[in-house]
Amino acid sequence: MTQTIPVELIALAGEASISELEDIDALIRLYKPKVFRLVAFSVADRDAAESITQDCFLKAHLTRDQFRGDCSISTWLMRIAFNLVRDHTKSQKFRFWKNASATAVDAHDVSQHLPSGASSAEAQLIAKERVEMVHQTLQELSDKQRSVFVMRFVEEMDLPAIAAVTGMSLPTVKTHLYRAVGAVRARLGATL
Amino acid sequence: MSTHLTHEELTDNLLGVSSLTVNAHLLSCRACANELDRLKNSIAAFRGAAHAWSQSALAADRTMSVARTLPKRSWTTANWVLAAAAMILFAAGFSFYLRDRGTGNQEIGSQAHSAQVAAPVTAIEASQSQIEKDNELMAQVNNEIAEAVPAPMQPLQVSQSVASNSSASK
Repeated sequence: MTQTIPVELIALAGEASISELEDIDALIRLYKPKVFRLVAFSVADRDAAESITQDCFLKAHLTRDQFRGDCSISTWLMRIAFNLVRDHTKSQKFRFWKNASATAVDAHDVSQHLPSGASSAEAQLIAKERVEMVHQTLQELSDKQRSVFVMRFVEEMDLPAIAAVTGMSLPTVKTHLYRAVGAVRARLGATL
Repeated sequence: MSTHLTHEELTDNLLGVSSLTVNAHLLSCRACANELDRLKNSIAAFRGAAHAWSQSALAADRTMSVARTLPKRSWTTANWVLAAAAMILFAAGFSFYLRDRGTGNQEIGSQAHSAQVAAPVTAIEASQSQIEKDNELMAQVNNEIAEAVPAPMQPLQVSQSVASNSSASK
Protein backbone atom coordinates (compact mmCIF):
# COMPACT_ATOMS: atom_id res chain seq x y z
CA MET A 1 0.00 0.00 0.00
CA THR A 2 1.49 3.28 -1.06
CA GLN A 3 1.10 6.38 1.03
CA THR A 4 1.05 9.83 -0.46
CA ILE A 5 2.31 12.79 1.53
CA PRO A 6 -0.34 15.50 1.71
CA VAL A 7 0.57 18.66 -0.15
CA GLU A 8 -0.17 20.67 2.99
CA LEU A 9 2.53 18.76 4.88
CA ILE A 10 5.08 19.37 2.14
CA ALA A 11 4.19 23.06 2.23
CA LEU A 12 4.52 23.11 6.01
CA ALA A 13 7.91 21.39 5.80
CA GLY A 14 9.01 24.04 3.32
CA GLU A 15 7.78 26.81 5.58
CA ALA A 16 9.58 25.28 8.55
CA SER A 17 12.82 25.21 6.56
CA ILE A 18 12.36 28.79 5.44
CA SER A 19 11.61 29.94 8.97
CA GLU A 20 14.74 28.11 10.09
CA LEU A 21 16.72 30.51 7.92
CA GLU A 22 15.63 33.44 10.06
CA ASP A 23 17.58 32.12 13.04
CA ILE A 24 21.07 32.86 11.83
CA ASP A 25 22.63 31.74 15.12
CA ALA A 26 21.12 28.29 14.85
CA LEU A 27 22.00 28.11 11.18
CA ILE A 28 25.65 28.83 11.85
CA ARG A 29 25.77 26.49 14.83
CA LEU A 30 24.32 23.65 12.77
CA TYR A 31 26.04 24.01 9.44
CA LYS A 32 29.26 25.95 9.97
CA PRO A 33 31.52 22.90 10.48
CA LYS A 34 30.18 21.28 7.33
CA VAL A 35 30.54 24.41 5.19
CA PHE A 36 33.95 25.16 6.68
CA ARG A 37 35.29 21.68 5.88
CA LEU A 38 34.13 21.81 2.27
CA VAL A 39 35.69 25.24 1.80
CA ALA A 40 38.88 24.53 3.75
CA PHE A 41 39.73 21.36 1.84
CA SER A 42 38.70 22.95 -1.45
CA VAL A 43 40.84 26.09 -1.17
CA ALA A 44 43.46 24.49 1.12
CA ASP A 45 43.82 27.64 3.16
CA ARG A 46 42.42 28.13 6.64
CA ASP A 47 42.15 31.93 6.62
CA ALA A 48 40.55 31.98 3.18
CA ALA A 49 38.20 29.21 4.32
CA GLU A 50 37.09 31.20 7.35
CA SER A 51 36.49 34.24 5.19
CA ILE A 52 34.52 32.31 2.58
CA THR A 53 32.50 30.52 5.27
CA GLN A 54 31.51 33.90 6.68
CA ASP A 55 30.62 35.12 3.21
CA CYS A 56 28.52 32.02 2.71
CA PHE A 57 26.39 32.62 5.80
CA LEU A 58 26.16 36.32 5.07
CA LYS A 59 24.96 35.60 1.54
CA ALA A 60 22.52 32.99 2.83
CA HIS A 61 21.13 35.47 5.33
CA LEU A 62 20.81 38.25 2.79
CA THR A 63 19.19 36.04 0.14
CA ARG A 64 17.03 33.93 2.47
CA ASP A 65 13.92 35.23 0.74
CA GLN A 66 15.06 33.50 -2.44
CA PHE A 67 15.15 30.06 -0.78
CA ARG A 68 12.19 28.21 -2.25
CA GLY A 69 12.46 25.11 -0.10
CA ASP A 70 12.96 22.80 -3.09
CA CYS A 71 16.09 21.34 -1.46
CA SER A 72 17.37 21.03 2.09
CA ILE A 73 19.00 24.00 3.81
CA SER A 74 22.20 22.00 3.98
CA THR A 75 22.22 21.51 0.19
CA TRP A 76 21.38 25.18 -0.34
CA LEU A 77 24.22 26.32 1.91
CA MET A 78 26.66 23.90 0.29
CA ARG A 79 25.66 25.25 -3.12
CA ILE A 80 26.38 28.81 -1.99
CA ALA A 81 29.70 27.68 -0.53
CA PHE A 82 30.60 25.73 -3.68
CA ASN A 83 29.89 28.78 -5.86
CA LEU A 84 31.92 31.02 -3.56
CA VAL A 85 34.82 28.55 -3.71
CA ARG A 86 34.59 28.49 -7.50
CA ASP A 87 34.63 32.31 -7.66
CA HIS A 88 37.49 32.41 -5.19
CA THR A 89 39.65 29.92 -7.07
CA LYS A 90 39.16 31.91 -10.27
CA SER A 91 40.12 35.19 -8.71
CA GLN A 92 43.52 36.80 -8.34
CA LYS A 93 42.96 36.63 -4.62
CA PHE A 94 43.24 32.86 -4.71
CA ARG A 95 46.60 33.03 -6.46
CA PHE A 96 47.80 35.32 -3.71
CA TRP A 97 46.57 32.97 -1.03
CA LYS A 98 48.12 30.02 -2.79
CA ASN A 99 51.46 31.79 -3.07
CA ALA A 100 51.44 33.13 0.46
CA SER A 101 50.44 29.83 2.01
CA ALA A 102 51.37 30.67 5.59
CA THR A 103 47.93 29.54 6.68
CA ALA A 104 47.70 26.61 4.28
CA VAL A 105 45.85 23.55 5.49
CA ASP A 106 48.76 21.27 6.28
CA ALA A 107 48.51 17.52 5.72
CA HIS A 108 50.61 16.80 8.79
CA ASP A 109 48.46 19.12 10.91
CA VAL A 110 45.30 17.36 9.76
CA SER A 111 46.76 13.90 10.38
CA GLN A 112 47.65 14.90 13.96
CA HIS A 113 43.93 15.23 14.64
CA LEU A 114 43.27 11.62 13.78
CA PRO A 115 41.16 10.13 16.59
CA SER A 116 43.31 7.62 18.46
CA GLY A 117 40.58 5.00 18.95
CA ALA A 118 41.70 1.71 20.42
CA SER A 119 44.25 0.83 17.78
CA SER A 120 47.94 0.18 18.42
CA ALA A 121 50.64 2.81 18.03
CA GLU A 122 51.81 1.17 14.84
CA ALA A 123 48.29 1.18 13.38
CA GLN A 124 47.97 4.84 14.36
CA LEU A 125 51.20 5.64 12.57
CA ILE A 126 50.06 3.86 9.42
CA ALA A 127 46.67 5.59 9.59
CA LYS A 128 48.33 9.02 9.96
CA GLU A 129 50.53 8.28 7.00
CA ARG A 130 47.49 7.36 4.92
CA VAL A 131 45.64 10.49 6.03
CA GLU A 132 48.58 12.55 4.82
CA MET A 133 48.62 10.66 1.53
CA VAL A 134 44.90 11.24 0.95
CA HIS A 135 45.31 14.93 1.80
CA GLN A 136 48.28 15.31 -0.53
CA THR A 137 46.32 13.63 -3.30
CA LEU A 138 43.46 16.08 -2.76
CA GLN A 139 45.82 18.96 -3.52
CA GLU A 140 46.70 17.39 -6.85
CA LEU A 141 43.09 16.98 -7.98
CA SER A 142 41.18 19.48 -10.07
CA ASP A 143 38.97 21.93 -8.19
CA LYS A 144 35.79 20.06 -9.08
CA GLN A 145 37.20 16.63 -8.28
CA ARG A 146 38.43 17.90 -4.92
CA SER A 147 35.10 19.48 -3.95
CA VAL A 148 33.14 16.43 -5.08
CA PHE A 149 35.49 14.10 -3.17
CA VAL A 150 35.09 16.15 0.01
CA MET A 151 31.31 16.25 -0.33
CA ARG A 152 31.08 12.49 -0.85
CA PHE A 153 33.75 11.09 1.45
CA VAL A 154 34.13 13.75 4.14
CA GLU A 155 30.57 15.04 4.35
CA GLU A 156 29.04 11.73 3.24
CA MET A 157 26.54 13.43 0.96
CA ASP A 158 24.69 11.20 -1.50
CA LEU A 159 25.24 11.54 -5.23
CA PRO A 160 21.97 13.37 -6.07
CA ALA A 161 22.71 15.96 -3.37
CA ILE A 162 26.21 16.49 -4.79
CA ALA A 163 24.69 16.87 -8.25
CA ALA A 164 22.25 19.45 -6.86
CA VAL A 165 25.04 21.40 -5.18
CA THR A 166 27.42 21.42 -8.11
CA GLY A 167 24.86 21.65 -10.90
CA MET A 168 26.47 18.62 -12.57
CA SER A 169 24.69 15.55 -13.87
CA LEU A 170 24.95 12.32 -11.89
CA PRO A 171 27.26 10.64 -14.43
CA THR A 172 29.58 13.68 -14.32
CA VAL A 173 29.68 13.53 -10.53
CA LYS A 174 30.53 9.83 -10.72
CA THR A 175 33.23 10.46 -13.31
CA HIS A 176 34.85 13.04 -11.02
CA LEU A 177 34.69 10.56 -8.16
CA TYR A 178 36.21 7.73 -10.22
CA ARG A 179 39.15 9.96 -11.10
CA ALA A 180 39.58 11.25 -7.56
CA VAL A 181 39.46 7.76 -6.06
CA GLY A 182 41.82 6.55 -8.78
CA ALA A 183 44.33 9.22 -7.77
CA VAL A 184 43.99 8.23 -4.11
CA ARG A 185 44.52 4.56 -4.98
CA ALA A 186 47.58 5.38 -7.02
CA ARG A 187 49.05 7.38 -4.13
CA LEU A 188 48.32 4.65 -1.62
CA GLY A 189 49.94 2.13 -3.94
CA ALA A 190 47.23 0.15 -5.62
CA THR A 191 47.80 -3.59 -5.35
CA LEU A 192 45.43 -4.61 -8.13
CA MET B 1 35.94 -15.49 -10.96
CA SER B 2 39.44 -15.23 -12.27
CA THR B 3 39.69 -11.49 -12.93
CA HIS B 4 39.62 -8.80 -10.29
CA LEU B 5 37.19 -5.95 -10.02
CA THR B 6 37.72 -2.92 -12.21
CA HIS B 7 38.44 0.48 -10.70
CA GLU B 8 34.88 1.61 -11.46
CA GLU B 9 33.43 -1.46 -9.77
CA LEU B 10 35.55 -0.91 -6.68
CA THR B 11 34.63 2.78 -6.58
CA ASP B 12 30.94 1.96 -7.06
CA ASN B 13 31.18 -0.27 -3.99
CA LEU B 14 32.85 2.59 -2.12
CA LEU B 15 30.00 4.86 -3.20
CA GLY B 16 27.44 2.29 -2.08
CA VAL B 17 26.04 1.64 -5.55
CA SER B 18 27.65 -1.68 -6.38
CA SER B 19 25.83 -4.59 -7.96
CA LEU B 20 25.17 -8.01 -6.44
CA THR B 21 27.80 -9.53 -8.73
CA VAL B 22 30.45 -7.20 -7.33
CA ASN B 23 29.41 -7.99 -3.77
CA ALA B 24 29.60 -11.68 -4.54
CA HIS B 25 33.07 -11.26 -6.02
CA LEU B 26 34.27 -9.44 -2.93
CA LEU B 27 33.19 -12.36 -0.79
CA SER B 28 35.29 -14.74 -2.82
CA CYS B 29 38.31 -12.61 -3.78
CA ARG B 30 40.67 -11.79 -0.93
CA ALA B 31 42.80 -9.37 -2.99
CA CYS B 32 39.87 -7.22 -4.06
CA ALA B 33 38.42 -7.25 -0.52
CA ASN B 34 41.79 -6.18 0.92
CA GLU B 35 42.18 -3.42 -1.65
CA LEU B 36 38.69 -2.14 -0.89
CA ASP B 37 39.27 -2.34 2.88
CA ARG B 38 42.52 -0.44 2.59
CA LEU B 39 40.82 2.26 0.54
CA LYS B 40 37.82 2.43 2.87
CA ASN B 41 40.02 2.61 5.96
CA SER B 42 42.23 5.32 4.49
CA ILE B 43 39.26 7.48 3.49
CA ALA B 44 37.56 6.86 6.83
CA ALA B 45 40.73 7.89 8.64
CA PHE B 46 40.91 11.03 6.54
CA ARG B 47 37.27 11.79 7.31
CA GLY B 48 37.86 11.37 11.04
CA ALA B 49 40.95 13.56 10.97
CA ALA B 50 39.20 16.19 8.84
CA HIS B 51 36.25 16.41 11.25
CA ALA B 52 38.51 16.62 14.30
CA TRP B 53 40.73 19.20 12.59
CA SER B 54 37.78 21.40 11.60
CA GLN B 55 36.37 21.28 15.13
CA SER B 56 39.74 22.32 16.46
CA ALA B 57 40.16 25.07 13.86
CA LEU B 58 36.69 26.48 14.54
CA ALA B 59 37.15 26.30 18.29
CA ALA B 60 40.34 28.32 17.92
CA ASP B 61 38.49 30.93 15.94
CA ARG B 62 35.91 31.94 18.51
CA THR B 63 35.88 35.44 17.14
CA MET B 64 34.07 34.21 14.05
CA SER B 65 30.67 34.98 15.45
CA VAL B 66 27.32 36.10 14.23
CA ALA B 67 28.36 39.66 14.91
CA ARG B 68 31.11 39.27 12.35
CA THR B 69 28.85 37.44 9.93
CA LEU B 70 25.83 39.71 9.92
CA PRO B 71 25.92 43.23 8.48
CA LYS B 72 27.37 45.59 11.08
CA ARG B 73 24.93 47.89 12.78
CA SER B 74 27.55 49.73 14.81
CA TRP B 75 30.91 50.93 13.63
CA THR B 76 33.89 48.80 14.46
CA THR B 77 37.46 50.02 14.94
CA ALA B 78 38.25 49.12 11.34
CA ASN B 79 35.39 51.30 10.14
CA TRP B 80 36.59 54.20 12.26
CA VAL B 81 40.11 53.78 10.91
CA LEU B 82 38.76 53.73 7.36
CA ALA B 83 36.66 56.80 8.02
CA ALA B 84 39.65 58.62 9.52
CA ALA B 85 41.79 57.66 6.53
CA ALA B 86 39.09 58.91 4.19
CA MET B 87 38.88 62.20 6.09
CA ILE B 88 42.66 62.63 5.97
CA LEU B 89 42.68 61.93 2.26
CA PHE B 90 39.84 64.36 1.73
CA ALA B 91 41.55 67.03 3.82
CA ALA B 92 44.85 66.50 1.99
CA GLY B 93 43.11 66.65 -1.37
CA PHE B 94 41.20 69.76 -0.36
CA SER B 95 44.32 71.49 0.91
CA PHE B 96 46.10 70.66 -2.36
CA TYR B 97 43.13 72.04 -4.21
CA LEU B 98 43.17 75.19 -2.14
CA ARG B 99 46.91 75.55 -2.60
CA ASP B 100 46.61 75.13 -6.34
CA ARG B 101 43.73 77.56 -6.39
CA GLY B 102 45.76 80.00 -4.25
CA THR B 103 48.70 79.76 -6.65
CA GLY B 104 46.33 80.47 -9.51
CA ASN B 105 44.92 83.44 -7.68
CA GLN B 106 48.42 84.64 -6.91
CA GLU B 107 49.30 84.42 -10.56
CA ILE B 108 46.16 86.30 -11.50
CA GLY B 109 46.83 88.74 -8.66
CA SER B 110 50.39 89.31 -9.71
CA GLN B 111 49.24 89.94 -13.26
CA ALA B 112 46.67 92.40 -11.98
CA HIS B 113 49.26 93.97 -9.70
CA SER B 114 51.70 94.36 -12.57
CA ALA B 115 48.92 95.94 -14.56
CA GLN B 116 48.21 98.26 -11.66
CA VAL B 117 51.91 99.08 -11.39
CA ALA B 118 52.21 99.56 -15.13
CA ALA B 119 49.49 102.21 -15.13
CA PRO B 120 51.29 104.61 -12.74
CA VAL B 121 54.53 104.04 -14.65
CA THR B 122 52.95 105.19 -17.87
CA ALA B 123 51.34 108.03 -15.95
CA ILE B 124 54.69 109.03 -14.53
CA GLU B 125 56.27 108.77 -17.93
CA ALA B 126 53.50 110.91 -19.35
CA SER B 127 53.88 113.49 -16.60
CA GLN B 128 57.64 113.55 -17.04
CA SER B 129 57.29 114.28 -20.75
CA GLN B 130 54.77 116.94 -19.86
CA ILE B 131 57.21 118.40 -17.35
CA GLU B 132 59.94 118.38 -19.96
CA LYS B 133 57.66 120.15 -22.39
CA ASP B 134 56.74 122.56 -19.68
CA ASN B 135 60.37 123.09 -18.85
CA GLU B 136 61.16 123.76 -22.50
CA LEU B 137 58.33 126.19 -22.65
CA MET B 138 59.52 127.87 -19.48
CA ALA B 139 63.04 128.00 -20.82
CA GLN B 140 61.77 129.56 -24.01
CA VAL B 141 59.80 132.07 -22.02
CA ASN B 142 62.81 132.86 -19.88
CA ASN B 143 64.94 133.39 -22.97
CA GLU B 144 62.42 135.69 -24.43
CA ILE B 145 62.20 137.64 -21.19
CA ALA B 146 65.96 137.78 -20.91
CA GLU B 147 66.30 139.43 -24.30
CA ALA B 148 66.76 143.20 -24.17
CA VAL B 149 64.18 144.01 -26.74
CA PRO B 150 60.94 142.17 -26.60
CA ALA B 151 60.12 140.30 -29.70
CA PRO B 152 57.19 142.46 -30.65
CA MET B 153 59.46 145.49 -30.53
CA GLN B 154 62.19 144.03 -32.67
CA PRO B 155 60.75 145.07 -36.10
CA LEU B 156 60.38 148.59 -34.81
CA GLN B 157 63.95 148.63 -33.64
CA VAL B 158 65.07 147.30 -37.00
CA SER B 159 63.10 149.93 -38.83
CA GLN B 160 64.63 152.62 -36.54
CA SER B 161 68.16 151.38 -37.23
CA VAL B 162 67.41 151.33 -40.91
CA ALA B 163 66.18 154.97 -40.66
CA SER B 164 69.26 156.05 -38.76
CA ASN B 165 71.49 154.40 -41.30
CA SER B 166 69.72 156.12 -44.12
CA SER B 167 69.98 159.57 -42.44
CA ALA B 168 73.64 159.04 -41.89
CA SER B 169 74.19 158.20 -45.49
CA LYS B 170 72.42 161.40 -46.42
